[in-house]
Amino acid sequence: MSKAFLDTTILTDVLLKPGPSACAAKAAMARFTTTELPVCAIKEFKAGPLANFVWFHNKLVQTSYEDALVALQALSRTPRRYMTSTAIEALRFCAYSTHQDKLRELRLKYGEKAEMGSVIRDQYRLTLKTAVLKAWRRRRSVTSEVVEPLACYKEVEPKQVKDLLDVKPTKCFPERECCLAVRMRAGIDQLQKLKEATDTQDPNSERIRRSRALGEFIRVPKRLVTENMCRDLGDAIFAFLAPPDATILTTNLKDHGPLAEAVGKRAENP
Amino acid sequence: MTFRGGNGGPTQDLTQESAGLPIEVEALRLRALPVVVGDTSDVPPRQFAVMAHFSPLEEKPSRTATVEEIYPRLMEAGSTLRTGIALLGEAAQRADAAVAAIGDDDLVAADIELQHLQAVLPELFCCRSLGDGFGSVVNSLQIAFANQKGLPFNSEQVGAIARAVRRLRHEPFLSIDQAVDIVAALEDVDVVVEPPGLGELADLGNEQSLS
Repeated sequence: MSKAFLDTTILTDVLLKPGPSACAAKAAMARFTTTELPVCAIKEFKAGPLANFVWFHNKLVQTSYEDALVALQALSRTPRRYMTSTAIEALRFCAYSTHQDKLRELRLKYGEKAEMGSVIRDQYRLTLKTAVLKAWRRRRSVTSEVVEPLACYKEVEPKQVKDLLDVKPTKCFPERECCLAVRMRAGIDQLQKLKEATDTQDPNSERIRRSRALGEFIRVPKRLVTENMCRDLGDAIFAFLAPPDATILTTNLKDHGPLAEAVGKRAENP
Repeated sequence: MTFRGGNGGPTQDLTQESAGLPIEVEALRLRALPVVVGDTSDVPPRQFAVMAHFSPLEEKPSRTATVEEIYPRLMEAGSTLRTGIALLGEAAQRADAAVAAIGDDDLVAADIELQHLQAVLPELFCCRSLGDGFGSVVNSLQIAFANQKGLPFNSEQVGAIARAVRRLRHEPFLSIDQAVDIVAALEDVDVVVEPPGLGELADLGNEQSLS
Protein backbone atom coordinates (compact mmCIF):
# COMPACT_ATOMS: atom_id res chain seq x y z
CA MET A 1 0.00 0.00 0.00
CA SER A 2 1.53 3.30 -1.10
CA LYS A 3 0.86 6.66 0.46
CA ALA A 4 1.43 10.21 -0.79
CA PHE A 5 1.75 13.16 1.55
CA LEU A 6 1.00 16.37 -0.35
CA ASP A 7 2.73 19.65 0.13
CA THR A 8 1.32 23.08 -0.72
CA THR A 9 2.71 23.19 -4.25
CA ILE A 10 0.71 20.13 -5.31
CA LEU A 11 -2.46 21.44 -3.69
CA THR A 12 -1.94 24.70 -5.57
CA ASP A 13 -1.36 22.93 -8.87
CA VAL A 14 -4.57 20.96 -8.51
CA LEU A 15 -6.72 23.84 -7.33
CA LEU A 16 -5.37 26.92 -9.08
CA LYS A 17 -3.40 25.76 -12.10
CA PRO A 18 -5.72 24.01 -14.53
CA GLY A 19 -3.98 22.47 -17.50
CA PRO A 20 -0.63 20.66 -17.55
CA SER A 21 0.25 21.39 -13.90
CA ALA A 22 -3.03 20.07 -12.53
CA CYS A 23 -2.93 17.06 -14.84
CA ALA A 24 0.60 16.15 -13.77
CA ALA A 25 -0.30 16.51 -10.10
CA LYS A 26 -3.42 14.37 -10.45
CA ALA A 27 -1.58 11.72 -12.42
CA ALA A 28 1.09 11.56 -9.73
CA MET A 29 -1.52 11.23 -7.00
CA ALA A 30 -3.22 8.44 -8.91
CA ARG A 31 -0.06 6.34 -8.54
CA PHE A 32 -0.68 6.03 -4.81
CA THR A 33 -3.23 3.95 -2.94
CA THR A 34 -3.94 6.73 -0.48
CA THR A 35 -3.23 10.43 -0.60
CA GLU A 36 -2.97 12.59 2.51
CA LEU A 37 -3.20 16.34 2.82
CA PRO A 38 -1.93 17.88 6.05
CA VAL A 39 -3.87 20.88 7.30
CA CYS A 40 -0.66 22.92 7.32
CA ALA A 41 -0.76 22.70 3.50
CA ILE A 42 -4.24 24.21 3.54
CA LYS A 43 -2.98 26.96 5.84
CA GLU A 44 -0.03 27.75 3.58
CA PHE A 45 -2.22 27.57 0.50
CA LYS A 46 -4.61 30.14 1.90
CA ALA A 47 -1.90 32.49 3.12
CA GLY A 48 0.10 32.25 -0.11
CA PRO A 49 -1.33 31.28 -3.50
CA LEU A 50 -4.95 31.95 -2.64
CA ALA A 51 -4.07 35.30 -1.08
CA ASN A 52 -2.25 36.24 -4.32
CA PHE A 53 -5.40 35.59 -6.32
CA VAL A 54 -7.37 37.66 -3.83
CA TRP A 55 -4.80 40.46 -3.99
CA PHE A 56 -5.15 40.78 -7.74
CA HIS A 57 -8.92 40.37 -7.63
CA ASN A 58 -9.17 43.26 -5.19
CA LYS A 59 -6.76 45.31 -7.28
CA LEU A 60 -9.13 44.90 -10.22
CA VAL A 61 -12.09 45.92 -8.07
CA GLN A 62 -10.41 49.09 -6.88
CA THR A 63 -8.45 50.26 -9.91
CA SER A 64 -8.71 50.27 -13.64
CA TYR A 65 -7.47 47.40 -15.74
CA GLU A 66 -4.43 49.48 -16.71
CA ASP A 67 -3.54 50.34 -13.10
CA ALA A 68 -3.93 46.71 -12.06
CA LEU A 69 -1.53 45.76 -14.82
CA VAL A 70 1.00 48.32 -13.58
CA ALA A 71 0.73 46.83 -10.08
CA LEU A 72 1.27 43.37 -11.49
CA GLN A 73 4.19 44.54 -13.60
CA ALA A 74 5.77 46.10 -10.52
CA LEU A 75 6.15 42.56 -9.24
CA SER A 76 7.87 41.68 -12.49
CA ARG A 77 11.04 43.31 -11.21
CA THR A 78 11.81 40.17 -9.30
CA PRO A 79 13.97 37.15 -10.04
CA ARG A 80 11.00 35.17 -11.35
CA ARG A 81 9.55 37.82 -13.58
CA TYR A 82 8.65 35.40 -16.33
CA MET A 83 5.85 34.11 -14.14
CA THR A 84 4.33 37.53 -13.85
CA SER A 85 4.63 37.89 -17.59
CA THR A 86 2.65 34.69 -17.96
CA ALA A 87 -0.04 36.09 -15.71
CA ILE A 88 -0.13 39.20 -17.86
CA GLU A 89 -0.48 36.96 -20.89
CA ALA A 90 -3.58 35.52 -19.25
CA LEU A 91 -5.02 39.02 -19.13
CA ARG A 92 -4.34 39.45 -22.82
CA PHE A 93 -6.03 36.13 -23.47
CA CYS A 94 -9.16 37.49 -21.81
CA ALA A 95 -8.98 40.45 -24.14
CA TYR A 96 -8.78 38.25 -27.21
CA SER A 97 -11.70 36.11 -26.11
CA THR A 98 -13.91 39.04 -27.05
CA HIS A 99 -13.46 40.49 -30.51
CA GLN A 100 -12.82 44.21 -30.62
CA ASP A 101 -15.18 44.72 -33.56
CA LYS A 102 -18.01 43.12 -31.66
CA LEU A 103 -17.31 45.32 -28.64
CA ARG A 104 -17.32 48.46 -30.78
CA GLU A 105 -20.80 47.52 -31.92
CA LEU A 106 -21.96 46.72 -28.39
CA ARG A 107 -20.59 49.99 -27.05
CA LEU A 108 -23.36 51.87 -28.83
CA LYS A 109 -25.93 49.91 -26.86
CA TYR A 110 -24.21 49.25 -23.53
CA GLY A 111 -21.79 52.15 -23.15
CA GLU A 112 -19.12 51.66 -20.47
CA LYS A 113 -20.06 48.01 -19.91
CA ALA A 114 -18.77 47.26 -23.41
CA GLU A 115 -15.54 49.27 -23.12
CA MET A 116 -12.55 46.99 -23.68
CA GLY A 117 -10.89 47.94 -20.39
CA SER A 118 -14.06 47.35 -18.42
CA VAL A 119 -14.73 44.03 -20.13
CA ILE A 120 -11.23 42.67 -19.57
CA ARG A 121 -11.18 43.91 -15.99
CA ASP A 122 -14.46 42.19 -15.18
CA GLN A 123 -13.54 39.04 -17.06
CA TYR A 124 -10.38 38.68 -15.03
CA ARG A 125 -12.01 39.79 -11.78
CA LEU A 126 -14.83 37.26 -12.13
CA THR A 127 -12.40 34.52 -13.16
CA LEU A 128 -10.35 35.14 -10.04
CA LYS A 129 -13.35 35.38 -7.75
CA THR A 130 -14.78 32.12 -9.06
CA ALA A 131 -11.37 30.44 -8.87
CA VAL A 132 -10.86 31.49 -5.25
CA LEU A 133 -14.26 30.30 -4.05
CA LYS A 134 -14.05 27.09 -6.08
CA ALA A 135 -10.56 26.28 -4.84
CA TRP A 136 -11.50 26.80 -1.22
CA ARG A 137 -14.57 24.64 -1.59
CA ARG A 138 -12.55 21.82 -3.16
CA ARG A 139 -9.54 21.94 -0.86
CA ARG A 140 -10.58 18.96 1.25
CA SER A 141 -11.64 16.78 -1.65
CA VAL A 142 -8.29 16.79 -3.45
CA THR A 143 -6.93 13.83 -1.46
CA SER A 144 -8.42 10.70 0.02
CA GLU A 145 -7.69 12.00 3.53
CA VAL A 146 -7.02 15.27 5.29
CA VAL A 147 -4.60 14.65 8.14
CA GLU A 148 -2.62 16.36 10.87
CA PRO A 149 -5.29 18.81 12.03
CA LEU A 150 -3.97 21.95 13.69
CA ALA A 151 -5.85 22.74 16.86
CA CYS A 152 -4.82 26.39 16.73
CA TYR A 153 -5.86 26.96 13.09
CA LYS A 154 -9.40 27.58 11.93
CA GLU A 155 -10.28 27.02 8.27
CA VAL A 156 -12.34 30.14 7.72
CA GLU A 157 -13.89 30.53 4.28
CA PRO A 158 -12.82 33.57 2.21
CA LYS A 159 -15.57 36.12 2.48
CA GLN A 160 -16.85 39.07 0.52
CA VAL A 161 -16.56 42.45 2.16
CA LYS A 162 -18.38 44.90 -0.09
CA ASP A 163 -16.95 43.94 -3.47
CA LEU A 164 -13.60 42.82 -2.09
CA LEU A 165 -12.55 39.33 -1.10
CA ASP A 166 -11.01 38.80 2.33
CA VAL A 167 -8.90 35.73 3.12
CA LYS A 168 -8.16 36.56 6.73
CA PRO A 169 -7.51 34.87 9.09
CA THR A 170 -4.49 33.22 7.50
CA LYS A 171 -2.62 32.66 10.75
CA CYS A 172 -3.00 30.29 13.67
CA PHE A 173 -4.20 31.60 16.98
CA PRO A 174 -2.50 29.43 19.58
CA GLU A 175 -3.79 29.81 23.12
CA ARG A 176 -0.38 29.46 24.71
CA GLU A 177 1.89 28.11 22.01
CA CYS A 178 1.79 26.28 18.67
CA CYS A 179 -0.18 23.03 18.87
CA LEU A 180 2.77 21.16 17.33
CA ALA A 181 5.17 22.16 20.12
CA VAL A 182 4.75 18.95 22.14
CA ARG A 183 5.50 16.78 19.13
CA MET A 184 8.44 18.95 18.22
CA ARG A 185 9.93 18.53 21.69
CA ALA A 186 9.59 14.77 21.33
CA GLY A 187 11.37 14.89 17.98
CA ILE A 188 14.37 17.11 18.70
CA ASP A 189 16.72 14.65 16.99
CA GLN A 190 14.71 14.94 13.78
CA LEU A 191 14.69 18.72 14.02
CA GLN A 192 18.46 18.67 14.41
CA LYS A 193 18.77 16.67 11.18
CA LEU A 194 16.40 19.06 9.41
CA LYS A 195 18.52 22.02 10.52
CA GLU A 196 21.70 20.36 9.26
CA ALA A 197 20.04 19.68 5.91
CA THR A 198 18.82 23.27 5.70
CA ASP A 199 22.29 24.62 6.45
CA THR A 200 23.85 22.63 3.62
CA GLN A 201 21.58 24.32 1.06
CA ASP A 202 22.32 27.65 -0.62
CA PRO A 203 20.98 30.30 1.71
CA ASN A 204 17.93 32.34 0.73
CA SER A 205 15.56 34.26 2.97
CA GLU A 206 13.26 31.28 3.50
CA ARG A 207 16.08 28.89 4.40
CA ILE A 208 17.73 31.43 6.68
CA ARG A 209 14.46 31.87 8.59
CA ARG A 210 13.98 28.10 8.80
CA SER A 211 17.48 27.50 10.07
CA ARG A 212 17.10 30.23 12.67
CA ALA A 213 13.74 28.90 13.90
CA LEU A 214 15.07 25.33 14.12
CA GLY A 215 18.25 26.48 15.84
CA GLU A 216 16.39 28.50 18.48
CA PHE A 217 14.08 25.61 19.27
CA ILE A 218 16.87 23.04 19.46
CA ARG A 219 18.89 25.31 21.77
CA VAL A 220 16.00 25.94 24.18
CA PRO A 221 13.34 23.25 23.67
CA LYS A 222 11.33 24.54 26.60
CA ARG A 223 10.74 27.94 25.05
CA LEU A 224 7.24 28.63 23.80
CA VAL A 225 6.73 27.94 20.09
CA THR A 226 5.06 30.99 18.58
CA GLU A 227 3.02 31.21 15.40
CA ASN A 228 5.91 32.99 13.69
CA MET A 229 8.36 30.26 14.63
CA CYS A 230 6.04 27.58 13.34
CA ARG A 231 5.57 29.47 10.08
CA ASP A 232 9.30 29.96 9.66
CA LEU A 233 9.83 26.21 9.80
CA GLY A 234 8.19 26.19 6.36
CA ASP A 235 8.95 23.08 4.33
CA ALA A 236 10.65 21.40 7.29
CA ILE A 237 7.28 20.85 8.91
CA PHE A 238 6.21 18.61 6.01
CA ALA A 239 9.28 16.41 6.36
CA PHE A 240 8.68 16.32 10.12
CA LEU A 241 4.98 15.41 9.91
CA ALA A 242 5.03 13.03 6.94
CA PRO A 243 4.49 9.38 7.96
CA PRO A 244 7.65 7.27 7.53
CA ASP A 245 5.96 5.13 4.87
CA ALA A 246 4.74 8.10 2.85
CA THR A 247 6.23 9.88 -0.15
CA ILE A 248 6.11 13.66 0.01
CA LEU A 249 4.69 14.86 -3.31
CA THR A 250 5.97 18.29 -4.25
CA THR A 251 7.05 20.37 -7.22
CA ASN A 252 9.66 21.96 -4.94
CA LEU A 253 12.01 19.02 -4.78
CA LYS A 254 14.96 21.36 -4.36
CA ASP A 255 13.81 22.21 -0.83
CA HIS A 256 11.85 19.12 0.14
CA GLY A 257 14.30 16.54 -1.24
CA PRO A 258 17.20 17.17 1.17
CA LEU A 259 14.85 17.72 4.12
CA ALA A 260 12.99 14.45 3.56
CA GLU A 261 16.21 12.55 3.01
CA ALA A 262 17.66 13.91 6.25
CA VAL A 263 14.93 12.24 8.27
CA GLY A 264 14.83 9.01 6.25
CA LYS A 265 11.80 9.91 4.16
CA ARG A 266 11.19 10.33 0.44
CA ALA A 267 10.13 13.30 -1.65
CA GLU A 268 9.08 13.09 -5.29
CA ASN A 269 8.15 15.38 -8.14
CA PRO A 270 4.87 14.61 -9.92
CA MET B 1 -36.30 34.09 1.40
CA THR B 2 -34.53 37.34 0.72
CA PHE B 3 -35.26 40.09 -1.77
CA ARG B 4 -32.69 42.75 -2.27
CA GLY B 5 -34.17 46.09 -3.28
CA GLY B 6 -32.96 48.06 -6.26
CA ASN B 7 -30.38 50.82 -5.92
CA GLY B 8 -28.77 48.91 -3.09
CA GLY B 9 -31.98 49.16 -1.11
CA PRO B 10 -32.53 47.28 2.11
CA THR B 11 -32.70 43.53 2.09
CA GLN B 12 -36.05 42.15 3.17
CA ASP B 13 -36.52 38.81 4.79
CA LEU B 14 -40.00 37.90 3.58
CA THR B 15 -40.03 34.73 5.60
CA GLN B 16 -40.14 36.72 8.81
CA GLU B 17 -42.17 39.63 7.54
CA SER B 18 -44.98 37.51 6.15
CA ALA B 19 -45.78 35.78 9.43
CA GLY B 20 -49.48 36.14 10.12
CA LEU B 21 -50.37 37.48 6.69
CA PRO B 22 -53.48 36.30 4.78
CA ILE B 23 -53.38 33.05 2.86
CA GLU B 24 -52.64 34.68 -0.51
CA VAL B 25 -49.55 36.33 0.85
CA GLU B 26 -48.60 33.16 2.63
CA ALA B 27 -48.84 31.40 -0.72
CA LEU B 28 -46.59 34.04 -2.20
CA ARG B 29 -44.11 33.40 0.55
CA LEU B 30 -44.02 29.70 -0.18
CA ARG B 31 -44.13 29.81 -3.94
CA ALA B 32 -42.24 32.94 -4.78
CA LEU B 33 -38.87 32.77 -6.42
CA PRO B 34 -35.73 31.95 -4.52
CA VAL B 35 -33.06 34.46 -3.63
CA VAL B 36 -32.92 37.55 -5.81
CA VAL B 37 -29.51 39.13 -5.64
CA GLY B 38 -27.30 41.20 -7.86
CA ASP B 39 -27.12 44.72 -9.13
CA THR B 40 -30.63 45.62 -10.08
CA SER B 41 -29.92 49.33 -10.13
CA ASP B 42 -31.90 49.84 -13.31
CA VAL B 43 -35.00 48.30 -11.77
CA PRO B 44 -37.14 50.74 -9.79
CA PRO B 45 -37.47 49.69 -6.16
CA ARG B 46 -40.74 48.10 -5.03
CA GLN B 47 -41.43 46.66 -8.46
CA PHE B 48 -40.32 43.28 -7.20
CA ALA B 49 -43.50 43.01 -5.17
CA VAL B 50 -45.86 42.03 -7.99
CA MET B 51 -44.17 39.43 -10.07
CA ALA B 52 -46.81 36.87 -10.88
CA HIS B 53 -50.16 35.62 -9.78
CA PHE B 54 -49.87 32.96 -7.12
CA SER B 55 -52.74 30.57 -6.58
CA PRO B 56 -53.79 29.51 -3.08
CA LEU B 57 -51.72 26.86 -1.40
CA GLU B 58 -54.16 24.00 -1.80
CA GLU B 59 -54.19 24.23 -5.62
CA LYS B 60 -51.69 22.02 -7.35
CA PRO B 61 -49.72 23.80 -10.09
CA SER B 62 -50.92 22.62 -13.48
CA ARG B 63 -47.82 23.64 -15.41
CA THR B 64 -44.40 25.20 -15.05
CA ALA B 65 -44.30 28.97 -15.49
CA THR B 66 -42.11 30.36 -18.22
CA VAL B 67 -39.23 32.67 -17.41
CA GLU B 68 -41.11 35.53 -19.07
CA GLU B 69 -44.12 34.87 -16.83
CA ILE B 70 -42.01 34.69 -13.71
CA TYR B 71 -40.32 38.01 -14.32
CA PRO B 72 -42.98 40.09 -16.10
CA ARG B 73 -42.66 43.25 -14.05
CA LEU B 74 -38.93 43.09 -13.86
CA MET B 75 -38.87 42.54 -17.60
CA GLU B 76 -40.85 45.70 -18.14
CA ALA B 77 -38.70 47.69 -15.81
CA GLY B 78 -35.19 46.43 -16.34
CA SER B 79 -33.79 46.66 -19.81
CA THR B 80 -30.70 44.74 -18.74
CA LEU B 81 -32.74 41.87 -17.40
CA ARG B 82 -35.00 41.94 -20.43
CA THR B 83 -32.01 41.78 -22.76
CA GLY B 84 -30.34 39.16 -20.61
CA ILE B 85 -33.36 36.88 -20.54
CA ALA B 86 -33.92 37.29 -24.28
CA LEU B 87 -30.29 36.49 -25.07
CA LEU B 88 -30.32 33.56 -22.69
CA GLY B 89 -33.43 32.30 -24.44
CA GLU B 90 -31.56 32.36 -27.71
CA ALA B 91 -28.50 30.76 -26.12
CA ALA B 92 -30.61 28.02 -24.51
CA GLN B 93 -32.28 27.24 -27.83
CA ARG B 94 -28.88 26.94 -29.47
CA ALA B 95 -27.57 24.78 -26.66
CA ASP B 96 -30.59 22.47 -26.80
CA ALA B 97 -30.27 22.23 -30.57
CA ALA B 98 -26.60 21.32 -30.15
CA VAL B 99 -27.50 18.57 -27.69
CA ALA B 100 -30.14 17.27 -30.11
CA ALA B 101 -27.68 17.37 -33.02
CA ILE B 102 -25.16 15.37 -31.02
CA GLY B 103 -27.90 12.86 -30.28
CA ASP B 104 -28.33 12.55 -34.02
CA ASP B 105 -24.58 12.12 -34.44
CA ASP B 106 -24.47 15.31 -36.48
CA LEU B 107 -21.34 16.90 -35.04
CA VAL B 108 -21.18 19.65 -37.62
CA ALA B 109 -24.72 20.79 -36.89
CA ALA B 110 -23.93 20.70 -33.16
CA ASP B 111 -20.87 22.85 -33.64
CA ILE B 112 -22.77 25.34 -35.76
CA GLU B 113 -25.31 25.75 -32.95
CA LEU B 114 -22.49 26.30 -30.48
CA GLN B 115 -20.92 28.88 -32.78
CA HIS B 116 -24.18 30.83 -32.55
CA LEU B 117 -24.25 30.38 -28.79
CA GLN B 118 -20.69 31.69 -28.56
CA ALA B 119 -21.66 34.73 -30.62
CA VAL B 120 -24.28 35.69 -28.02
CA LEU B 121 -21.87 35.59 -25.09
CA PRO B 122 -20.14 38.99 -25.52
CA GLU B 123 -23.49 40.75 -25.42
CA LEU B 124 -24.62 38.62 -22.51
CA PHE B 125 -21.49 39.69 -20.67
CA CYS B 126 -22.61 43.30 -21.12
CA CYS B 127 -25.57 42.36 -18.88
CA ARG B 128 -23.22 41.44 -16.02
CA SER B 129 -24.73 44.15 -13.81
CA LEU B 130 -27.37 41.49 -13.06
CA GLY B 131 -24.87 40.12 -10.60
CA ASP B 132 -21.52 38.44 -10.18
CA GLY B 133 -23.18 35.02 -10.32
CA PHE B 134 -24.54 35.80 -13.77
CA GLY B 135 -21.26 37.37 -14.87
CA SER B 136 -19.24 34.47 -13.58
CA VAL B 137 -21.14 31.84 -15.57
CA VAL B 138 -21.14 33.88 -18.79
CA ASN B 139 -17.46 34.67 -18.35
CA SER B 140 -16.57 31.02 -17.77
CA LEU B 141 -18.42 30.05 -20.95
CA GLN B 142 -16.63 32.76 -22.95
CA ILE B 143 -13.24 31.58 -21.73
CA ALA B 144 -14.19 27.95 -22.30
CA PHE B 145 -14.95 28.71 -25.96
CA ALA B 146 -11.73 30.69 -26.34
CA ASN B 147 -9.74 27.82 -24.80
CA GLN B 148 -11.19 25.40 -27.34
CA LYS B 149 -9.57 27.43 -30.14
CA GLY B 150 -12.26 26.29 -32.54
CA LEU B 151 -12.16 22.62 -31.60
CA PRO B 152 -15.62 21.12 -30.98
CA PHE B 153 -16.74 20.20 -27.47
CA ASN B 154 -17.57 16.56 -26.81
CA SER B 155 -21.11 15.41 -26.04
CA GLU B 156 -20.68 15.50 -22.27
CA GLN B 157 -19.31 19.00 -22.47
CA VAL B 158 -22.12 20.19 -24.70
CA GLY B 159 -24.60 18.75 -22.21
CA ALA B 160 -22.91 20.59 -19.36
CA ILE B 161 -22.89 23.86 -21.32
CA ALA B 162 -26.60 23.45 -22.11
CA ARG B 163 -27.38 22.84 -18.44
CA ALA B 164 -25.39 25.91 -17.45
CA VAL B 165 -27.24 28.12 -19.91
CA ARG B 166 -30.66 26.78 -18.93
CA ARG B 167 -29.93 27.21 -15.23
CA LEU B 168 -28.80 30.78 -15.81
CA ARG B 169 -31.94 31.52 -17.78
CA HIS B 170 -34.11 30.27 -14.94
CA GLU B 171 -32.05 31.96 -12.26
CA PRO B 172 -30.41 35.05 -13.75
CA PHE B 173 -29.91 36.47 -10.25
CA LEU B 174 -28.11 33.40 -8.99
CA SER B 175 -25.52 33.94 -6.29
CA ILE B 176 -21.79 33.63 -6.82
CA ASP B 177 -21.85 30.41 -4.80
CA GLN B 178 -24.47 28.94 -7.13
CA ALA B 179 -22.38 30.12 -10.07
CA VAL B 180 -19.37 28.30 -8.62
CA ASP B 181 -21.47 25.10 -8.63
CA ILE B 182 -22.21 25.55 -12.32
CA VAL B 183 -18.61 26.36 -13.19
CA ALA B 184 -17.42 23.35 -11.18
CA ALA B 185 -19.86 21.16 -13.12
CA LEU B 186 -18.32 22.42 -16.36
CA GLU B 187 -14.85 21.61 -15.06
CA ASP B 188 -16.01 18.15 -14.04
CA VAL B 189 -16.38 17.32 -17.74
CA ASP B 190 -13.01 18.91 -18.55
CA VAL B 191 -14.27 22.21 -19.88
CA VAL B 192 -11.40 24.64 -19.21
CA VAL B 193 -12.93 27.78 -17.77
CA GLU B 194 -9.80 29.70 -16.84
CA PRO B 195 -7.34 31.47 -19.13
CA PRO B 196 -3.94 29.83 -19.60
CA GLY B 197 -1.29 31.31 -17.36
CA LEU B 198 -3.72 32.40 -14.68
CA GLY B 199 -2.24 29.96 -12.19
CA GLU B 200 1.11 31.72 -12.30
CA LEU B 201 -0.41 34.41 -10.13
CA ALA B 202 -0.32 31.84 -7.37
CA ASP B 203 3.46 32.07 -7.29
CA LEU B 204 3.72 35.82 -6.90
CA GLY B 205 4.20 35.43 -3.16
CA ASN B 206 7.22 33.27 -3.78
CA GLU B 207 8.72 36.01 -5.91
CA GLN B 208 8.32 38.53 -3.16
CA SER B 209 9.96 36.33 -0.60
CA LEU B 210 12.77 35.46 -2.97
CA SER B 211 13.38 39.10 -3.73
